[in-house]
Amino acid sequence: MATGTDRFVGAGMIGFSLIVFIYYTLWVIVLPFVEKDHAIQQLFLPRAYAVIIPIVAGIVLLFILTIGFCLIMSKNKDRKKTK
Amino acid sequence: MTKLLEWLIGGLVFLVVWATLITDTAFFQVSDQIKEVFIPLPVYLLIVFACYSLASVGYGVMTFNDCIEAHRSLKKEVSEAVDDLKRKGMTM
Repeated sequence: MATGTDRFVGAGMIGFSLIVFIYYTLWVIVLPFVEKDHAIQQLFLPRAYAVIIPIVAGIVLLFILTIGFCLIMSKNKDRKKTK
Repeated sequence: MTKLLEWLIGGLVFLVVWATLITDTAFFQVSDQIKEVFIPLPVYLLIVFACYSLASVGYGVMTFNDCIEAHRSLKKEVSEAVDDLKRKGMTM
């Protein structure tokens, strides 16, 4: 088996993805079939956010990747110039 | 036909079916309740795929054994290569 920190990080990743999957599945698929005044509706944001949050997160991710890519390209060019 | 093309075509077919179902342009209608579940479906499938990817990476991280012998031999080869290149005039 892998050593200490590796197992912890791996387990953390699996746990996080499980939590996201369960919450999101309940939100998108189960909640529409639950009556409006059931207690569990309090735990979830309005359903519009179920689409908005992933799209915004995706755009932010693309943004970060683009900036990272531009930084790396410019560092490469600087190094080629001073050589 | 490549795998990428297969997946792209499958994804396109799914999107077309999805679009016709939520805009009532298919030859059968779906109830409003089912429509409410259907509308976020593409984003939902994307999120599920992302969760699956993260979980499989996490599982791989958890089950990959340390290879101490391979680590040592790799370090040795790297230092040999660095010395060799330094002798031949490259700066590191």
